[in-house]
Amino acid sequence: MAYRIKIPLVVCLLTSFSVYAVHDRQLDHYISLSLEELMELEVTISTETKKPLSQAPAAVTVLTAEDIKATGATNLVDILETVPGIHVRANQFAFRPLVQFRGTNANQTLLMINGASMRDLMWGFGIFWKGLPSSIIERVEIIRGPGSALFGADASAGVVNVITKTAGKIEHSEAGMRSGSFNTNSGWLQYGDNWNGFDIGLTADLSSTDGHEPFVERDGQTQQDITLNTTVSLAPESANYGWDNQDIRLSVAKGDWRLHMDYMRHSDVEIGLTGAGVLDPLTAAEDSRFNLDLLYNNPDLSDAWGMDMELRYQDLDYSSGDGFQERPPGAFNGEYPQGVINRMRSAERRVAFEVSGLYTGFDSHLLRLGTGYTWQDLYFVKQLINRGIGPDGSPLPPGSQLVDVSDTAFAFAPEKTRTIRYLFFQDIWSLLDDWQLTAGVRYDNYSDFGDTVNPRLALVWQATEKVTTKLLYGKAFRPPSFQELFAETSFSKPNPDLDPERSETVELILSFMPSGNLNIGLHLYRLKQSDFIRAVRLSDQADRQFLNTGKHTIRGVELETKWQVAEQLRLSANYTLRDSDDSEFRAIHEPKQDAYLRADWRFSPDWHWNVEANWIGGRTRGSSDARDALDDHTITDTTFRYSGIDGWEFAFSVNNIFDVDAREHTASSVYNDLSLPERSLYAEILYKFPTNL
Amino acid sequence: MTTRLLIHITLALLWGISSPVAGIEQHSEETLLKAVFIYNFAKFTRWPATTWSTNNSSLRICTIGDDELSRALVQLNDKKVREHTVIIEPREFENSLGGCHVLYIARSMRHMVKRTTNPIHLEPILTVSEIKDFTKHGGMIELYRIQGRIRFKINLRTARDAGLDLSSRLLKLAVEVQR
Repeated sequence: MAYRIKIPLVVCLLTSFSVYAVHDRQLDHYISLSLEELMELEVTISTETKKPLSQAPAAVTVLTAEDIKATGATNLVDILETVPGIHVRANQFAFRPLVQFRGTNANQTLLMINGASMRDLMWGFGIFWKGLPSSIIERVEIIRGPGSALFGADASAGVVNVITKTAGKIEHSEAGMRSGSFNTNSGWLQYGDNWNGFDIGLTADLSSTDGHEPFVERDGQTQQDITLNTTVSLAPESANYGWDNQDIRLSVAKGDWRLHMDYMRHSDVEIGLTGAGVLDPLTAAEDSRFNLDLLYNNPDLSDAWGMDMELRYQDLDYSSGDGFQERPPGAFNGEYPQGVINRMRSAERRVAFEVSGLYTGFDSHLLRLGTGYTWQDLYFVKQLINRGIGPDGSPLPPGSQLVDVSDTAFAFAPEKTRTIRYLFFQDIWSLLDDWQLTAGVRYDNYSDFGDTVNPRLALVWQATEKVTTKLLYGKAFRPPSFQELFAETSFSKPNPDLDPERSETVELILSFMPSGNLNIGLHLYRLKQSDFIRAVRLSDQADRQFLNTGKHTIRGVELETKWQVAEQLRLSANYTLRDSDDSEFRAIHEPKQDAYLRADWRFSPDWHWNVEANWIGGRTRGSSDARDALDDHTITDTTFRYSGIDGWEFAFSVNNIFDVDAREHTASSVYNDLSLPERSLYAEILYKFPTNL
Repeated sequence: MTTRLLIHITLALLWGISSPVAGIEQHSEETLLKAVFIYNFAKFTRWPATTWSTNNSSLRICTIGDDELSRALVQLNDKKVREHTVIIEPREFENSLGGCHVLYIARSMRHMVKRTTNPIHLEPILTVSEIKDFTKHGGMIELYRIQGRIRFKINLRTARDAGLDLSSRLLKLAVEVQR
């Protein structure tokens, strides 16, 4: 604030008034927040610099550990469903919770843990993706809308960044246990301390469940039975969706340096139904993921420069165990007495380096620029099959024994590497006191498909203390997967000349805070997707081949509100409308509308009561699907939490209180769709160790 | 007329160039945030009914000593805590703290914590400071920053001795509560 006399008077006046105004507004914003929210204050994802959420240049939602705990959510995906614009769809294969933004498929979602993408080369979030246990989560930051200009690949429709509890941020040690329906049991531990000047953090979460075993009246094999006049289908029968989870994270921090070591493993994963909708009661699959991240953050490298550096390593391993039972014993007129078996294993590793700087040397500008290099290697692929294309490229004879197709062009993927080089630049420019323009662009170079440039622009106008308007534009991309680029399967041919899928979003956001206790947000967007990658049958070819084809547009409205009715009572609600055009690229499983209502009532100092209801509506079938549209449903959950005994907390939850028959869309081979969990009960005990900070 | 205008311009100019002195000091986000924490502490504290005389329903947040936060607190003037209007009052001496509901002890007082809190330890005055080990030396709430977040410790016994009732919500959010 060192002004010189030479500066014209008007500027002086404006500046001093505006400093006053900005301060007042900041102060009022803080005053409008609850103490719990103040304690969580630190927004990093959107521009990676702190600022009040209402002014962040994107549609950002932050969910804190307290938010998650209050709802009794035991998994990341439970809480994501409560965010407007997001629908978490359970997939028939392994009941995978696919996180879908704004009416698109899950492969348009970028999911990160502490800033590192969870995406692998073949399977999106992972072939046995099961979300993340909530006990490891410090907070979740969610951006609806494109994020490729900052984060690169996959951030087409939305970004989820999970911040885990790590060294220096774990304020107390605790241990907890939870038990409930479907033979679900879990235990967790968090520990934070300082040893000789090093902050140490440890979280561990172990869990096991039998899953909810939905009843399947007719499966993919039933269809074949009708055609071949056989009776080998296992349906009617329940699908098995049990799984075990082990998640261990150790972190060390000192000064500007942090080291994170994470290990995640799923074991005894039952997949329930195969991709083709056939009941598979045999598979016990497993996967593991190991991450080692070295992070450096120095906000005061010099007067005007701050610096971030990260070096990350990841190793992933997927195994189908003894193999997926793609068809039950006796399939194809008894040609496969052991069933059709597909045994798959793959492993990949990734090394990533990024360096970025934050420059504050220009008045009213905040510049961030950075560059990075990523090396991904699918170094191990093993596949044994007894039906399909054999190692020599010709179909295996009926009744074949298991044959190894690894290291041939006919395995499900090639052993291959991909490298990515990128540069990004962003400027946050405070044009006037009330106006701010954010402009960013990122250039990515992929070793397989080539270049892509993705810009974004955000104009934020704080019209009055109570009204903020944001106009946003952004482009994003989804790179073709290794399967689409390189793997020849029984169903389709690859195409090494593919371009990435693209998206372009325009968005208008209005936030209105009529009083300190009431927040209302309205989001309008138009999302255009193009160059969709699909397996298409060309007229002159027998097989289908992956091609860039087609366009699709989604328009939508998201409305959200938060109301602190009294000191002890808070209500929040949101409503989402997605209006997809009727092209063949519509994500047919996506609901046209959904709504969410939540109440948090601290009816006595030691009690917290949460009730939430989620309505899913308007799921219509694809044009070739003759089934009736899926019924709408509302699922209501409640959680009581008691913390009246020093150090102890007790919680009790009932999910789907009214035992509603809710179903998730499946392909018509699983004719009656997939039942979601019925009413279920959970109890939790938690002990916080006294701190000696 | 011209003279008056000139005076106005001159004053405005001075105000513009000397803004830190004129009270429009640029406080860091962190300091503002801490000020709002103190505002919240007041919200979650119950004073004995006798503290509120009928004809004076202001909530006095007094400051003693000097640091960035003591200067930033001025911005809370005229805000409301329940039905009470906040008044920020800098005090000079530790023996003149009558009428205060909250006392913020600035860092410059770090060698005089006990001397400041001792005489008022039975008075219903909520004492807050950023001074290290404040709660061990007779203070009630100690504010501090860790990993970019604001945290606080509470000495509940001291507060109770003074006749103050701190809400359980506040106690729950405290990193440490000495009972």
